[in-house]
Amino acid sequence: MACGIRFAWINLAVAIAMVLLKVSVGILAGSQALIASALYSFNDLLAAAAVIVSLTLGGRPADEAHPFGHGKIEFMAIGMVSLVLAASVIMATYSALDLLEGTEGPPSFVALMVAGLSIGTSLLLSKKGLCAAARLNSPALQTSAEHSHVDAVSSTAVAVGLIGAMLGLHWLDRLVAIFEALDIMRLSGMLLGRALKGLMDAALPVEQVEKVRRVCETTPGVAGVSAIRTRRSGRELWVDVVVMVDDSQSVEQAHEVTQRVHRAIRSTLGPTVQSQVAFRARTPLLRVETVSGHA
Amino acid sequence: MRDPRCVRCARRAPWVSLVGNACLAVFKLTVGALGGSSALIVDGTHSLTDVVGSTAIIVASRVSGRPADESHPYGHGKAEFLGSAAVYSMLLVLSAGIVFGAVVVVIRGSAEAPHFLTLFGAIVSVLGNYVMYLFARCAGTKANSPAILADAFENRADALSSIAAVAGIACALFIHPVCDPIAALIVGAMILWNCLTQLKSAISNLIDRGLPTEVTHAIRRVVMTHQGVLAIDYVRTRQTGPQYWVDVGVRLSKQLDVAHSDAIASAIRGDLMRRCEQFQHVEVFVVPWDDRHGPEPRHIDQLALAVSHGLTRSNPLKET
Repeated sequence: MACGIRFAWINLAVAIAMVLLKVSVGILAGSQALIASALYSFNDLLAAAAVIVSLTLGGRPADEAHPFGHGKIEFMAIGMVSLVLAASVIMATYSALDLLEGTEGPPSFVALMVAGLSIGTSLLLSKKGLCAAARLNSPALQTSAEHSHVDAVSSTAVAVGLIGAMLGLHWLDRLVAIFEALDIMRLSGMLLGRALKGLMDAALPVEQVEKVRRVCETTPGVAGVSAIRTRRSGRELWVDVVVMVDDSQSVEQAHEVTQRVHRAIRSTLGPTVQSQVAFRARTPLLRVETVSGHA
Repeated sequence: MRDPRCVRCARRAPWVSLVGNACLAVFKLTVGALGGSSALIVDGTHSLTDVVGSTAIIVASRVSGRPADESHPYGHGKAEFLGSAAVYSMLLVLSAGIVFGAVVVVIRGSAEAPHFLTLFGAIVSVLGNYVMYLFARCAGTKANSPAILADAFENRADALSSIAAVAGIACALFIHPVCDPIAALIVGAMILWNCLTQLKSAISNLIDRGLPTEVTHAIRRVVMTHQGVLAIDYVRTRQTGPQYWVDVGVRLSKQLDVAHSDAIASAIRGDLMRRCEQFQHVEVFVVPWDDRHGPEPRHIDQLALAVSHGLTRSNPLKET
C-alpha cells in the first residue's frame, strides 16, 4: 500500500506544481484563460488530497470501534472526487458563458504550451495510476487515475480551442467546451454511483458471486452452500459463506473443510479477499434451545 | 418497536417534521422579511433546509426498509446514513454561507432594528420546533432509527436557534440594532456545529462502526454461558442501518461432531437474536480448540481457571 500512497502524493505534487505554473505564467504572460484554468488544477489538488486522506485513514488496521477496518473511507473519497468534478463542470459552464460575452484576449502560445505539458503529465499519471489501482485493487486510486484521464481530455480540449482561436475559428473553443463538460459530467455521475454502491454494501458482480459459489460447492467435504454474502470495503473484498458439511464429521475435520474453502475463495478472488466461512450440519437433528445461566 | 403506536409514530415522524417545518419556514421567512430581522430570516432558512432534509430522509428510509436481495446481501440499511450524510453536507455549506453573510453585515454596520412583531414570530417558532423535537425524539428512540433521531435533533437545534433569534431581536429593539445580525451569526454558527457533529456520526456509521465495547463484552459473557464453548476468538459487530450485524468466533472441542457443534452454534445464534432486537443477523464461526494454547479445558473447573487467567475473555487465540 505504501507505493499507492506515494503515487497519491505524486498526484498532489503535480497538481500543486500545475497550479503554481499556471498562475505564475498566466500573470507573466497576461493570460486570463491560463489563470482561470489554474482553478481546475486546484480542483485536481482537492481530489488528490481526498485520495491521500482516504488511503491513509483507510489503511489503518481494524480496531474496537471499527472491527471490519476503515476501507469504506475510500468510497467517501470517491464521492468527494465526484462532487469536485461536478463543481468543475459548473465552473466550466460559467466561464463558457463569460466567453460568449466576448472578453477573449489574443490567443497565447504560452497557454498552448502549458496545455501540452498538462496533457503529458495527466496521461502519464492516469496510466501509472490505473496500473497501481489494478495491482492494489484500490477503488480510490482507480478513481484518481480516471480523474487524471479526464484532465488529459480537458487539457486537449483547451489545446484544440487555442489552436482553433489561432486559426480564427472561435466557435471551436465553445463546441469543445460543451463536449468536455458532458464528459466530466458522465464521469462524475459514474463515480457517485460507485461511491453509493460501495457505501451501501452492494454485492460483487453476479458472475463473481456465482464463481465463488461454484468453487465452494466443488471443494471436497462441502455438501452444499446455504449462503454467500459479498461486499466491498475499500480494497478489501469481504466474503461470508455458510457451507453445509456431514454431521458425523468432527469439528476438526469440518474446520479443515472451511480452510479449504478459504483457500479456494482466495485463489478465485485474489489476495485482497477477507473470507469468513461458517459451517452447518446438513441435517440439523439437535436444536438446543435451553441456555445455562440464562439471565 | 413492539408497541404498534410506536410503529405508527415512526412512520409518521418524517411527515410531521416535513409539514411542520414547511409551515414554520414560510412563517419565519415572511415575518422576518416583512419585519426586517436578519436573525429570523436565517432561522427561517434553517427550517427550509430541514424541509429538504426531511424529504431526503423519507426517501432514504423507503430505500433502507427494503429487505436484503442479490445485489445487497446485507440489506439496504446504510441508505439512512447516506441520506443523513447528504443532508448535513448540504446544511454545512449553507450555514457557512449564513455565517459569512452575517459577518459582512456586522462589519459594515449596516444593521437596522427589526419590527416589534418579529419578536412574537420568533417566540412562536421556538414553541413549534420544541414540540416537533419531542415528538421526533420519542419516535426515533423507539424505532432506533438514526435518520429520525437526526431529524429530532435538527428540530431541537431549530428551537435553540429560534431562542437565539428571540434574544437577538429583543436586544436589537431595546439596546442596539447590531444585535440582530449578531444573533444571525450565532444561529448560523450553531447550525454549522450541529452539522459537523451529525456528519461525523453518519460518516462513522458508513465506515462500518461497531457496537461499543461494553456491548461486545456483554455478548462475550452471554456466549461463554453456552455449554461446550471453550473460548471466544472474536466478536465483530457493525452497523448496517438501524440494526447490527454480529459475527462471533468460538472455540469448541475438536472431537465434537458437527451435529452437536451445529446445535451449540444455533443455540448461540438464537439466544443472541432473542436478547437484542437490534441484531439483524448473528453468525457463529466454529473453530476447533488449538492445542498450542494448552490442553482443552475439559471440566468446569479448568474452564473457570481459564477464565480467571483471562484466557477466554481477552483475545489470545486470534490467528494472525
